[in-house]
Formats: sequence, structure tokens, C-alpha cells
Amino acid sequence: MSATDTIVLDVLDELAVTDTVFHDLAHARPLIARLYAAVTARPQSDRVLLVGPNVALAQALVRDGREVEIWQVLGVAITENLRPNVTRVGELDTLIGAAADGEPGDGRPFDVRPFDVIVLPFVLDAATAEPAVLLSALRDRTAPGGSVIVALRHAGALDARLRALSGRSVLSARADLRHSWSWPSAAPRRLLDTDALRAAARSAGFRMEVAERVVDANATAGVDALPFSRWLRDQVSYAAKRAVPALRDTLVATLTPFSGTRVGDGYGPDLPHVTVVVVGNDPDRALRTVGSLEEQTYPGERVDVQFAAPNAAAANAAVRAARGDVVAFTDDESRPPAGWLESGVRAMGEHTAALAGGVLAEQGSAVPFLALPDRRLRVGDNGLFLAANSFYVRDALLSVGGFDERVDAAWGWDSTAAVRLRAAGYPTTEDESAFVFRMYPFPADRSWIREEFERARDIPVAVRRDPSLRRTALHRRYFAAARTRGFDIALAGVAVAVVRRKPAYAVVGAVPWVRTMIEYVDLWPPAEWRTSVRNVRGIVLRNGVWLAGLTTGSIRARRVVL
Amino acid sequence: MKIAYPYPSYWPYVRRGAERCIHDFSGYLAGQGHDVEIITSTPGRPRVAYDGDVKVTYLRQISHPLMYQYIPRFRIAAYGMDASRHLVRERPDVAHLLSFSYVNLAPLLRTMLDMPFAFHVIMRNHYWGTRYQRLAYANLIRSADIVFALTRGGADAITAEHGVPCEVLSPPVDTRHFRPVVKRDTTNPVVLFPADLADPRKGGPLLFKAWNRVHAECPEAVLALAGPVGMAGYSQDRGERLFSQLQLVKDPKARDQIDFRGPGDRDGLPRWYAEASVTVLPSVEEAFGMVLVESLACGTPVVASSFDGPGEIVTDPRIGATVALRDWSDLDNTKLVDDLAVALLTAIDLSRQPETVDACRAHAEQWSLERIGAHAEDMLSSIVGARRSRQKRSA
Repeated sequence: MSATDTIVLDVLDELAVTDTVFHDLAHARPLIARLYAAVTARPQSDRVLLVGPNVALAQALVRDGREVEIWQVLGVAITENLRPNVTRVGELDTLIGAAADGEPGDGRPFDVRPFDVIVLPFVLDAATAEPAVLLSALRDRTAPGGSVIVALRHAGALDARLRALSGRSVLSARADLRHSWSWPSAAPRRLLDTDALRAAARSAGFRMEVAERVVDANATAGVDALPFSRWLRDQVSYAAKRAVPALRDTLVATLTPFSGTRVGDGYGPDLPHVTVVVVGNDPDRALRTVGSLEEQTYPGERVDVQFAAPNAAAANAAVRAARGDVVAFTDDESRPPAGWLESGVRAMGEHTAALAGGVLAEQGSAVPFLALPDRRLRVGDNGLFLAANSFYVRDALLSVGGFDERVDAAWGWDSTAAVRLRAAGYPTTEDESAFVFRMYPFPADRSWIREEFERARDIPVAVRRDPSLRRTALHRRYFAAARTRGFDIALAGVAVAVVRRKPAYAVVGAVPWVRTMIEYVDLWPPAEWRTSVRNVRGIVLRNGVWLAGLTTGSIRARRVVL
Repeated sequence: MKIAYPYPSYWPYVRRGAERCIHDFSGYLAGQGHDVEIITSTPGRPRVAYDGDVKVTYLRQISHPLMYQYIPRFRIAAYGMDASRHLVRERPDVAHLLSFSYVNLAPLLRTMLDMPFAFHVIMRNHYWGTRYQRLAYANLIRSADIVFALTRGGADAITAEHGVPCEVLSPPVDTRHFRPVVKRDTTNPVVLFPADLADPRKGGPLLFKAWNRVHAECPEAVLALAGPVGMAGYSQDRGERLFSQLQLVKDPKARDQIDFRGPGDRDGLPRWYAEASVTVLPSVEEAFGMVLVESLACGTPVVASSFDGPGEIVTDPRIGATVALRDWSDLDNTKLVDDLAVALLTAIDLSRQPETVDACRAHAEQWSLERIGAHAEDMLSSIVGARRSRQKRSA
């Protein structure tokens, strides 16, 4: 038995309730213990709001010396000693509505101090208002660094599945009792799954920090008379839920407000201060980029500039030194158009923590033949947050530790912050309206071989860090680009042809590759043949460098990218 | 003197009626220097606790869904066996049993271990479910060293039925705790109903029907429901009875004037009583009516039946009014609905008279803890003394 279970048992022994109520509460003990553990695990939980409530949970929190405020749902019984903690009594919908309006529930002075923890057991699924609306109403009552802990019936629960299979409404899984000794007993109006709750939380300005499926009650309540068949069914159902998490009834999730993101309708007339971080090693080019910032439509007095070398540590240092609420990254090869900052800041929308903008190749730029995900003519919508054009909410970025400094300057270092933000539950987005033009320089010497090799080598490592890149940035999930795929198939065709001693395999296998480079080969007039041969030679060389880099990286990262 | 009070339920699980009575008696006797132990049961973990100087031993309560379905009495029988075993181990000088202590082996313990016991009849009519229970009950009365009833009428009935002498030992009221702690607001009279609405004997439906008329005559009056909803674990009622009863109040405005407070706690009850204009207990087969005496001690007039225990309490028109509720059928009697409404309005008027508080308080003094507690101590001491004399003679 865990320490939390023991605490709850101690509380049950102290409670001044009839033994019928005792059994009701003891029946709900698994969820009481889970919610108690969730509250006490929070770094700050001195002031707690409990909606419902369940008297054993309330008593356990009061017993710890926490300041517990109770919003009592009509029909939920409460013990006398907890009555001084009750500040509001009413129907579920009006209770939360009053939170938004800031109206006191009775004659007592309204305490407007925010709560460290708000506990909502079976509220989001039973209230008339949508979960996002309810959470938004409570957002302002949550202290900085505070959290909302919710428990709700999961759409994938065993009971709901069985009811759906038998053609009954899944929403009738729980009787609508008017009186409860334990949790609020209103019947659910909706069943949510984890993703639906996450989406609702995001739109209300919360990220889902922890979510788990729990068995919310013991198999039976000791005091409820049951015939043997019903008792056996309950035991079997309980055992199934214990064994298979996916069948458990209840989802317990801890939601925390997004750090520094906004509440309401986005930025109004008061645009935030923005720090532009110019990434690069060339001071002259960096100053040229700064010069282009002077044409921005964004109010100049709300913009300042930092410089950073192209690696994670330098970028983090720049973020820490930034004064702006929003940090916009661009690099010394980029030229932001006049509306870049304004478009980016406005496109961040409500609660967005990071935004990736589009990157367009500048007129006269080199056109890289083997375009890696970050070197395409038009970059965007591929899960990469390039240093050339990305926006972050500074507090959110710092709260997740910024860029991953272990990556240093390897390929994809600039996307590591977005990966961390997503993992922490922050919404990130992409928007092409905030685009920049970027100059891709022509390679001056053979140093490109080393650069391309290293970049290719780093891609599988980046995929290992962020598996979603397979879907968003890679071609057919396993290829760095369509052209590498064509080259790989051609090589495979050659290999099969050699083994089978049939040249036809090589010919067939080369078709996709030939299609990718046909535009670089002119068969007529003969004067172009020389150039075409040189192009094919260059293409083969580049494909070879890439294949070597990708193979090396795949072995190193134990992730196949070709 | 080492005194044991075996009873299957006790605080904090049940706090009214017999449990309150045991609490007050045990507290008084412990205060007099006696070694008092309450042997009860808990749905939680077995343990020993101390309520002041009183030792409270919580034995394990057996609860299981199949047991309640197929052998519902097993829980209480198991408690009886467990408590008997505990008595053998502890060897108290005397055990004070009540009607539902379920220590049916007490006569055997008395014979074999020379452990005297007092038997306190706390109901007017016991509706035993089996022949064994009827025999065991009769055997306890006949074998007890002393038999108590709550009122004189109750004692006479025991003597008439079982042919044994029966003393009167009424439940005490702690008049230092229950006293007029606040001044009453007579402009918005409160009618306090402190009984369990899930218990059909208590007359909840009758009160709700009468409330229609009381509200029509006195719209500012508030009906405060201050009883528990659902009894101990043996009851399967979860409050459904309460909510169905509320439908009997037809006028929505009258229903709005009903305040559902719950059972409250001991510390808050004096305030509720003192604030109320009248405490009502329209019950039948009531052996006593502790809430009536508590209310009187707080200076609040009462309305109750003119029969049985309440009839022996409300004997003075200066302290309340009575309604002729003799038996179960009277709870459905339309005329008595009107009588109850009239009695309530009369008591509300009574509460506005300045001398009522003192009259009620003076009337309640006859059940003060000091007086009744001393009587209990004398009675228990007498049977312990008789036992010692017996032991000396045999030595």
C-alpha cells in the first residue's frame, strides 16, 4: 500500500460520516489517492480550489495544512468541518460561470487571489459548457506556475466500449443521481479522449503536462448489496481495467498554463516588444540583415536586435539576453520583407509558443540540386523551425530550456527548441505569411563536399531527436529528398542487375533517378553534351556524398534515412 | 468501576439517538473516575481511540456486497460475537447493553464469568425479523441484572410484557452544551426538523404536507432540514426518499423556503436549536425524543406527538404543542396534517413570548446530564455491588 493510500485511509477513519458514506468514499479511494498525489506532486500547491468536492479528498488536503477553497456542487454532501471552506454553492454550470464573472457566491467578500492548484473531478465532461470554455474561465484564477488537475471519464473506457458495442448510448454509462456522497454525480454530457482534452486545453491556454488512465474505483462498494452475477461481472470488469490501461475509465491530467503566452483575442493595439536574433558568423552580412529590419512595418521602438553564432548555445544566450516578449530569429543570409515581423507576431495567435515562417530563395540564389529539407526553394510546412525565420514566446522558450545545446551546431539545431516545446505540450504552428528571402550562396570551392556530408550525416540524428520529422520533413518517410530516393533505387537496380546478371534491372531502376535530373541533361544540340556530362558527373558526385553522409548518420543514429 | 458499552455503531459514523446517549453516559461516568470503554465497530481499520477519558475500541466491521444481498444480518451477528469475545478478554465489572447491542451471549457471560449487565430498552416496539431474535431479546430482558426504559410509560410496558421490574433511565442532555447561545430572530421564524428523513417513523412526509399550510399562513417561515439522510450501513437508502418526499410540498415558493442543512455537528447544534422558533418531531413509536429535550435546553419550544416518549416530554403548553400521532396510520391522516400545521403556528407564536426561553430551559433541567448521569452511576454501582456481595458470600 502506498503512502498516499495510507493517508487517504487515515482520513477516512477520521471523517464524521455514516458507514454508508464511508463505503461510498472507500469505493472511490483509488481516484482520491491519485488526485491527492497529483496535487501534492505539484511544486506549488499551498492554495487549492476543489470543485465538487469529494470530502475525503478535501479533508486530506486540509489535513496537510493547505488552504483549500471548495465550490460545492448542489447535491454533493459535505461534512460540517469543511463548511467554512465552502465559498460557493450552486449548479455545476453556474459555479464555473461565476468564476469568469468574478461574482461572489454568497455574502462573503470575494477572494480574488489565484489558486496554485484547481482540481476538477468529473466537471469538464458533465458541465454544459465546452471544456475549453470552462478552462478559459479558470485560466485567470490559476496562479503563475499553478496548474489545473482534471479527472474525467475517458471515451475509450471499457464500459463505454461495451455500451457502444451493444448499441446503447455511451453517455448513459453513469446514472444521473441527484445526491452524492462522493464525486459530483451529474451524468456526462460528453466523453473525451486524451487528444480531445489536449486540444481543449491548448485552446484555453493550457498544456497537458501529465496524463494517465487510472482505475477510479474499487470493484464494488462494501455496503451495496449485489447478486452474485452482478458481483462477478464487476470483479471481472475491474480485473480487466487493472490489466489493460486502455480500458480504464478515467483520465487524470495535469494542465499548466502556457508560460508567457497570451490570453484573449491575440495581440490588440498593444503589440509586444520583439527581439530579433540575427544568426550568423559574418558581421557584414548580419549588419545588412539589420538594415533590412529598418523597413519593417512593426513599431521600431518595440524592436531590438541580438546577434548569435549559428549554434544552440549562442542562440540560448541571445534569448536569455533578449528584452522582448517575442524572440524572432533570422540569419545573415536572409532578407526579411517589410511586413515580416508584424505578420509573424500577429500570426502567432492565441497561446502559440513558436511559429515557423516560410523561407523563399532570393533572386540570383544558387539552386541546390539535392535540396535537403532546409535547402529547398520554398521552405515551410515541414516541421522545421529554421534559424532563418522562426518566432518564439520568450518565457515559453526559456521554460523548456531553449535550444538543445548537446546538438551544438549540427544540422537541425535550430529546430530543437520547437521539439522541446511540443513535447512540453505547447502549441507550435507554421505560417507562410511571415516569410523571408534567403540567399543560398554558390559554393566557392570543394569545401561544399565536407559541408554536405556533415549535413547529411546529421539528418538521421535529427530524426532520432524528433521522429515527427519523418512525416513532415522527409520524402516518403525514409528519404532525405526525392532525388536521393531516385539515386538509391538506381543503385539498388545496379546491384540486382549484377547479382542476377540482367542489365534490365539497372535500366528499370535508373528510371526514377533519370527523371529527377533530366532537366540538367541536354541531348541536343551536340554542343551541349559536354556540359551535360559535366552536370551528370556533378550530380553523381553529390549523390555519392549524400549517400555516404546519410549512411554514416543512419548507422550512428540507428535510424534509417537514405 | 470498569464499565463497557457495546454497541455496533458509534461516533463518528452515527451521532444521534443511542450513540449520543452512549456518548453522554460514558463521558459522565468517565468524568466520575470510572474506567469506561465503548466497544463498537468501524467500516475502516480496527483501532483504539480515546474520546476524552473514554476508551473507544473499534472492532472490524464485516461488509461485503454478497453478504448484504444474501445474509444481511450476518454483519450484526458477527459484531455480537466479536464484542462478546472482547468482553471475555477485558472482563468489565458491568456491561451496559442497549436494545440493539446484539450481545446476545450476555446471559451466558453473566453465568460463566459472573459479569453483570444492565439492559436498556430504547424502543417502544421492536420489530425483530426472526424467532431467534425475539427469544434472544426476551432472554436478555429476563437475565439482566437491571432493566432500564427511557420513560415511565416505557418501563410500565416492559413490566407488563415481560414481568420484570424496570427502572427509568432517560437519555441525558448536557445543559452546559445545549443552551440558548444566540438570540432568536422571530421575524423570520425557523422550523427545525432534526430527524432522519429516510426513517419513515420520523414523519417527514407528514411535515412536508403540513408545510404547505404553514407557508400559506406564515410565508416568511423557513423549514430547516437538519437530519441525516440515510441511516447506518444497513440501510440501502441513498437519499432517494428525501427527494421524493420534497414533491409533497406543492407550492414552489414553499419549497424555496426549505433549507437543507444536513445533520450538522454537535458543536453547531445548540446554535441551530437556539435560532429556531420551533423544533418539530412528528414521529410515531418514539421511545423518547432526544432532540426535543436538546431543543428545550436551548430555549426553543417543540412540536411532537402526544403519545409515547414525546408525550411524556411535552407535558406543559408553555413549552410547545402536541399532535395526536399514535401509530403509523396517523402519518397518512389528512386531519393530522392540519393539526400539525396548527401546532407549528402555535409554537411559532409561543416562541415570540419572552418567557418561553426560560420555561423551556427549566423544563429540560429534569433530564440534565448531572441528574441522569448520577442516576445511571447509582444503578450500575448497585449491580456491581450486588455482584461483589455475591462473590464475598461464595468465598
